[in-house]
This record gives sequence, C-alpha cells and structure tokens, in this order.
Amino acid sequence: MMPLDTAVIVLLEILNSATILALLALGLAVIFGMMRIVNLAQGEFFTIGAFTTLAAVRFGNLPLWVGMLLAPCVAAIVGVAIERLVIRHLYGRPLDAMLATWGVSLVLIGIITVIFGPVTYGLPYALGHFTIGRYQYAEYRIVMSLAAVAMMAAVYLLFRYTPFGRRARATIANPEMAAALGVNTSRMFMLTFGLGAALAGAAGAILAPMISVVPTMGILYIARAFITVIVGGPVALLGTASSASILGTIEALAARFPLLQIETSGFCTPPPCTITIGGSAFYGQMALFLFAIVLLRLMPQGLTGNGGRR
Amino acid sequence: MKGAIAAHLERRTGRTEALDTSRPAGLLVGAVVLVPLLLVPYGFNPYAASSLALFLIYGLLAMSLNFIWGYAGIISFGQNAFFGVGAYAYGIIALNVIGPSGNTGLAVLGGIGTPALLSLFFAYFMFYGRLSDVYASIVVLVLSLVLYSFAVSTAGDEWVIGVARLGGFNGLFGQGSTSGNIANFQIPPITLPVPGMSEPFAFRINRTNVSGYYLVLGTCVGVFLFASLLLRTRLGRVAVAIRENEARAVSLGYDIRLYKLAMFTLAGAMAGIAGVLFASWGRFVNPDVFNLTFAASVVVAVLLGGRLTLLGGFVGAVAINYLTSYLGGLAAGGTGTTDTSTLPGMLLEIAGRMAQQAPILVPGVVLICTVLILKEGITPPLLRQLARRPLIGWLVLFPAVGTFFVLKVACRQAEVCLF
Repeated sequence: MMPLDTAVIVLLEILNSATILALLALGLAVIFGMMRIVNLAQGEFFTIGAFTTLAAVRFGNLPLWVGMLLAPCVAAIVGVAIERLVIRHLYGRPLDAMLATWGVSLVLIGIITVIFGPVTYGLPYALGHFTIGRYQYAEYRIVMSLAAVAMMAAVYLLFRYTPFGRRARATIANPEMAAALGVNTSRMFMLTFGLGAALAGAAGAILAPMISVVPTMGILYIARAFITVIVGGPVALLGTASSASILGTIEALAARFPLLQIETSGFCTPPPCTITIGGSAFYGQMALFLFAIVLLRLMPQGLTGNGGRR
Repeated sequence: MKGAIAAHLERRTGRTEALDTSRPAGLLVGAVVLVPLLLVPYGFNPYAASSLALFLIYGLLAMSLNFIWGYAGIISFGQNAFFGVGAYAYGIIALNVIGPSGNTGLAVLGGIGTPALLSLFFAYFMFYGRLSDVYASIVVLVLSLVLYSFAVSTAGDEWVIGVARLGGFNGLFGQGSTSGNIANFQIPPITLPVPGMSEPFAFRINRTNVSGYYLVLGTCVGVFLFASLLLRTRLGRVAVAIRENEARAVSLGYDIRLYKLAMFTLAGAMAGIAGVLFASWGRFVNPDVFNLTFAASVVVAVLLGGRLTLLGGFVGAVAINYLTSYLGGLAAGGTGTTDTSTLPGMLLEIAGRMAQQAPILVPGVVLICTVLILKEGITPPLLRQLARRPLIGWLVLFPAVGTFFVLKVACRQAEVCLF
C-alpha cells in the first residue's frame, strides 16, 4: 500500500499535470475549439508570453508580476497583427489557414531566435516550498492551478454573459446572420483571435518560472495542447477542462511509476545496463499520446461529442 | 462501371489529366530533367553531386507526401516520422549485420518494412476511427514530435540494440572501444556483394566513386515510375475519387477506409526508402529527422512544387533546399564579431543572424506566400507550358540544357573550364 504522503504527492502531481494541460489548451480552445482555425502558431504565442516575462524581469528589471501582466498584452498585439495580415484572408479555408499558421510559427521562432539568440534562459523561481511527509512541493504550482481555474472561469463568464461574448458567439455560429444583425464580424474574429493569443501568452508567462525558456519551446507544448483540445471535443471549455483532467491523470501516473525494466547489451558503470520504461516525464507524454489515439478511435468526436460515429 | 467513373473524373478533374506525364510532354519533361541529372557527377565536383543526392532524397520524401496529399487528399504533416524511422531502422540493423554478413540487404528491407508497418498501424487508427482530415494530419505531426522527444532521451549508455548505440543527439553509432577510427562505427553505406571480390561493393559519393549518387537517382526514378503506374490502376483512380468527393465514393460502394489505408501505407514505405537512402548517404542519423522544422520543410517542398503532380515534391525539395543552403552559406562568415554600436553594424548583425536562421525562416516565408499567392505551386504551370508548346521544348529548351551540361562535362574532364 502506498504511504499517505506519497499518495498526496501523486494527487498534487495529477493536479499539476492537469493544470499545465488546461493552461496550454485554453487559448487553443478559443481559436481552434470555437473558431475552428487550426492555429499551429499557438505555441509561439506561448513562447512570446514567456519571453516577454523574461525580458521584463531580466532586461527591464521589473517585478515578476508586471512581466506576467505584460505578456498577454504583447501576445494579443502579435495575434491581432497576424490575424489582420494573414488569417483574415483564409476564413473558410481550414487547410490553408493551418498551413499559413505553420509558416507564421516558423517565422516567429526565427524572429525570436534572431532577437534573443538560440540560448536557454531561466527565470528565478517564484515563492517557496512546503513539506508533505518526506516530500517538498513548490507553492507556486498551487498558485498555477488557482490561476488556471480563474482564467477558465473568466473566459466562461466573458463568452457567456458579456455583450462581447454574445456577439463573438453569434459571429462564430453564423457570420452572415450576425453581420445582418449589425455585428462587425471581421472585428469580432480579430478580437476573438487576439483573446486566444492573449490566453496563450498568459499561459507562457505563468509557466515561464517552471521551465527553461528557449525560442523553440512552443514546439514542446503545442502537441499536448492540440491533443487536449481534440480529445475535449466540440464543447470547447467544458471539453478542455474534462480532457485536461483525464489526460493529466494519465500523464502524471505514467510519469511517476516505472512500468518495466529491460536489460541491454550496453557498457554501463556499474555493469548491468537496464532501460526503465515509465517513471519519467517523457513516458508521461507518451502515455498521454497513446491514450488519446485509442480514445479517439472509440470516441471520434471527443469527450463532449455524442460518442457515436459520424 | 469503372469506365463510367473514370470518364466522370476526367470531366470533373481536368487538371489531373492535364498534368499526366504519360502524354508526349512526359517524354520531353523526362529528357529535360534526366539528362542534366545523369551528367551532374561528371560536370561538377563530388560535393555538388553529394548535395544534389541529398536534395533528391528529400525530394523522394516529399513525393511520398505528394502521393497521398495530391492524389488521395490525405494530409500527413509528419511524413518525416516514417523517413526517420526508416533511417533509424536501417542504421540499427545495418550496424548489427554488416560485421557477420558483410551485406546490408536485410537492413534495407527492415528500413522500408518498419515505417510501412508503423504507417499501417496509424492508418488503421486514423481511417477506421474516421478521424477527420485535419485531426489526422495533426496526429501524424504529433507522432513525429513524440518520436523526437524519444530519440533525444536515448543518450544514455543503456540505450543499445545489439551493437548499435542510439546515442540521443550524438546520433546513431556502433558500439566499440573508443580508441578506434570513428569511421568504423558509423552506419555502413548500402553494400552489394559482388562474386569474385573480397570486399562487397559499397555505394558512396566521393572523388573516385559516384555510385552512391546513381543509386539515389535510380531509386528516385524507379519509385517515381512505380508510383505513377500505381496511380493509373484501380487504386489510384479510387483514391482520386475519394479526394474529389468522399461521400460519392462511399455511395458508389468503395470501402474508402481500405483504399486510404493502402495509400497511406505505401506512402509510409516510400518515406522509408528515402530514410534508408538518407542513412546510407550521410552514414549518420540523429533526432533532427523528427523535428518540427524538418516536418515543415517537407510540407513546404510539396506546396511550393505543386501537390497535383508527382514531380512537384522533387522540384520543391530541390528548390527550397538549394535556397536554404545558399542563404545558410552567406551566414557562414560568422556573426557576433560586428560592431553593433553603429546603425550599419547593427543592420549587418541582424542580417547575419537572419541568414543563420534561414533553415527556419525560408520555409516559414515560403509557406505563407504559397498559401496566400501561389496556390498551385510552381511545377503545374511549368508543365502546362511545356505540354502546350512541345515543339519549342524539343527544339530550344532540350538542346540548350543538353548542350550546357555536355559542354560542362567535356570541359571538366579536359580541365579547361571557363564557366
């Protein structure tokens, strides 16, 4: 039987994995889940958020929280600019939009590398640790979970109860009808896209102290974000929240517990060479990916779809 | 029944027929493209032949995407995953069998079979799960990214298969005492046992031996012809029907899942062939074959070349790689040494850094521009021009290209080159 402190830590790790997935997927849930644009540049909005925070703290000598507030603003500005320059021309052409955003993604990685160099940066660790039995756990991770919940609630309230949210939902559901009723649909698409970019920027800022900040970091996270949103299915916010919890559980468990060991013919010191399958962050992601593929075979519409076949 | 569908398709998709390379223009295109390609190793230095061989290998990979995207409407943004798996499989098996048997036949088979099986597995889940196009394309891209993080994580001493050390970012090498010559631990090139010779014949590209170049060229031409013929069979016709109107193909009684599965698996095997050639060409493979930039470069090659003709992938791959390596060469002068306190110095520094990022900026810019401006790619309009004016092609273009390359070979052999 598992000791109590280990059990608590495992639960906290599950919460942490789910939080990270939810943070990553939230912006994408707006842009891909609602607007149906497969935005492969989403990872770079995340990177922009992290680098804005980094630049503010490292080079601007501003406090961390100011950097974190600046991040979504910068990401939103870049997002709106991209929407106006590129994506605006590609509504109704999902594949072309996907390809163009891939191009945008590469160009953004290139530009960020030109500015900051192909170097890995780190941000000072925020807050301290608390102790559970034999383990220590970062307080900041708890704050992250709270921030994720707050962001999801804010997005829900924004789309559900504000005039902007009503117009945005109307525009997405039926652009012609919305335009006929006097909604400036072009502006609505622009703002919604900007919001999605801002959410990704905020996620980048929130995660920045926990991870290494490098121009290509978006690539590492975009795959998990897409899987979370796809598994979530057509109801963007609820789907993202539920798939983040399920996939987060799978990821945390696979990353925690070794599954089996294989002996190999390598030259190791000390001699017996063994490969451990399971029990590291990589296997967490692997398990998440395999689980998602099997789940999509069973429920092609995702968790919030009707469960049946098309 | 079949004839009626074909006739309908011909009416509906005039474009596929217009680009058919079997028409008289096919011979012309073949001549204009192949004659220079055959002469390159004798008209230029071995380095040029070697680079061109690499670009052709990338072209073959792009063609495998072309094959499913242009003709079956299946988009796979992670086609490089099958390429990389093929390269790794070839390398691992070749390192293990080259010692005992001295030939790489088994490794070549493994390098093609493994990605074919992997693509079969994924095709089953994607097409029998009825994942929509956009989702399927992302799933394959994610496969490539997962393989990337896996390959990167194999740096430790324990990641050994037989005598092949996976080596993480250092790449795949044989395992042995560290004092020996590094070349003995590299992935062996494709070899062919020749009766009566003590050493099996190895395909390499260097000053004395250009057989490796012709192996690549021959394989590319062979696979291209095989794929073109395949697209003429029932499989290819139905694939086009699926691309044009999936619902109608279903209602005509075709099991579209099976056809998509077959097309996707064949494309996986083609990518595997390219991967085997790649591992044999450079005698090296590392996780970069799985990274996102490489995945993008394949898609860019197909888009730029034009996805509605099988030749597009080759044209796009050669164009984009030539451009990237040219710009990358400009940056080789070195950056960080310029004085950035003045405006010109600053601009020079920025330009230098941009040139350094060419491998990522070029595909990015080309992607955006092709999608927004050049929707069809560059090959289809060129092919149409040739098909429309075959006489000019035969009387002007072919002699001009032919003369240039023949002169180039002649002057290089006589060592009196003026151009």
